[in-house]
Amino acid sequence: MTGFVGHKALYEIARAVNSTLEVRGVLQSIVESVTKAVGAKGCAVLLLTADKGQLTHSADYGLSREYVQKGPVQPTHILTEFADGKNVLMVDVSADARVEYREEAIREGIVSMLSVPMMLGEELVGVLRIYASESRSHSAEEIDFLRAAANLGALALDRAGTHEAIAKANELLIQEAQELARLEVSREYLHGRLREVARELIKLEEGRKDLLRLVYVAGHDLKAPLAAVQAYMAVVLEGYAGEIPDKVLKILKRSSTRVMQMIELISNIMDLSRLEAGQLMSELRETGMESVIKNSLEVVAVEAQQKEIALKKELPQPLPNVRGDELRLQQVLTNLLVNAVTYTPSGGLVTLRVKEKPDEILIEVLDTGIGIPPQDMPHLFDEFFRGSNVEVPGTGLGLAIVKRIVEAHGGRVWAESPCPETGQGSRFSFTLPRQGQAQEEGQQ
Amino acid sequence: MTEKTTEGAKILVVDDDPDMRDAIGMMLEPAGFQVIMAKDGEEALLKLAAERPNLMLLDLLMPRKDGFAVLKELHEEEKWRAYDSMPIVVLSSVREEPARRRYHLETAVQFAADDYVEKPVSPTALLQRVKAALAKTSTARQK
Repeated sequence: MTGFVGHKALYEIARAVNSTLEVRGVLQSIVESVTKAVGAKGCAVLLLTADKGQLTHSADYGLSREYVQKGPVQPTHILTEFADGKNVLMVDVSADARVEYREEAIREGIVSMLSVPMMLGEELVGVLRIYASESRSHSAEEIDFLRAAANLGALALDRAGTHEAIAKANELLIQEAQELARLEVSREYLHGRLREVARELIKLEEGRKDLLRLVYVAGHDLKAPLAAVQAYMAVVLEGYAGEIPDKVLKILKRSSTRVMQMIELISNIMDLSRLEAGQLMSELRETGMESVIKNSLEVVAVEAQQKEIALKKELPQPLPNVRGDELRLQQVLTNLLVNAVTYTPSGGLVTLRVKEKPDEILIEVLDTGIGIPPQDMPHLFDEFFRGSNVEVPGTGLGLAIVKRIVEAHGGRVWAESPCPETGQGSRFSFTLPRQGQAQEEGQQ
Repeated sequence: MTEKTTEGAKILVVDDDPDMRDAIGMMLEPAGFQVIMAKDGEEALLKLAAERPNLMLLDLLMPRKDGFAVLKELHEEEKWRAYDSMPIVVLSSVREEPARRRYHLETAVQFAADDYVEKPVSPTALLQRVKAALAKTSTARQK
């Protein structure tokens, strides 16, 4: 009869273990089924703490709250007896020295207690304890049932532990997935923004190019009538329109000079717009300095001779090659030499010097001219800046163009006044990367 | 010698600016050249066929057909082969180097002008360049 009841209870417990993964429910179903199956007063599951130092009530049936909360149970003697393969039976709680909470047990009406181990394989995880209100013993059949119930409880605990771990992992995975989804959304958003910004930048760049193109086209249209006026004036000035009075000639010469200045200004503005649009320079290639220097000196030779300014060259032989656009380099050097001759009084000296350095070529133009006031130095290479001490007309764009061209070559340009060597005039210097080095710098 | 080979030469001046055409005429005619005018590329090609000039002075930026297109057509079309030896001097306010680059980029052939004069121009310089271009081709033809 007991066997039948026991099997039925075990079946229910096993079902509980299988059907619910909530460990507390399983343990509760175990203590309830056991109590009923063996006709006991109550039943409890006491689990062993991780350090195996205490047994604590985890599920109970038929016991008062006060009793369950009496405190943890010392497992020492139980562990010893379990190790010997025994169950721990206390037939008279009031007289048994092993009972820890005697008064509480008596007050609860407990007379005898049987403890069976809850084993998970070789490991003891807790104790299934059966309480009776009379002194009683248990049949071998009952003991088998109790041990099976206890072990099912241990299994439930283990599965629950695994399940919890899986649940936790699942939860982490879900969080991770949500995080990833959020990141994906942010990433898409950022990509979208980046695309928008890129489009915006392209639009701005196109606008800038349009504006520069407009400056260039407008420059050309401004130049056309001036070029016609200048051509007419040249016809008259060079005598192709017959004799003209000296006074008219003088007026026309001045007018022609002003027109030429204006054409020069427009040409410079057009150059700047093309430099800005990246269109003025042709591809940089290996260029000899020879013709650059020769052509630039030719431009200033006449004026220098008229003003009795000596042109001195300090050049290494042979002249080094540079990476550059020959015409633009000529424009730079011509500009510096014209400035030097223009701002140097008669009888002065203008020196052109080329020096080879380990990683660059240094080109210097020295003069004994009027120099540059200190307050002008920071603005020297700005667009439309004119020195505060100059009277000669100019566009204020020459040095701005020089700076852009030199920098487009990967070089630097600067000025010193007075010239540190002579203590007078000024020294303009610019560098150009040596042939073969400009490309490396460009990649950095 | 130069005077002899270039005297009476017929020059086609192509420029969209009427005053520029007029001024150039004033520079060339006193030197004994016969000057004919065209206001754009299309007219230039018509005059070229009708007048058979000895030299063409060609502006680049013009409405309708520009100087680049004229150079391209002369280079590409068979009917203009007879003009291969006619010197062409470009006279433009466009800087020489970008003009050559643009032409090369657009047509993949080298800019076929014999000389390039940047505006503004002075009579002395223009006459010198025109005479030099004429002398070069007449020397080449004699060879």
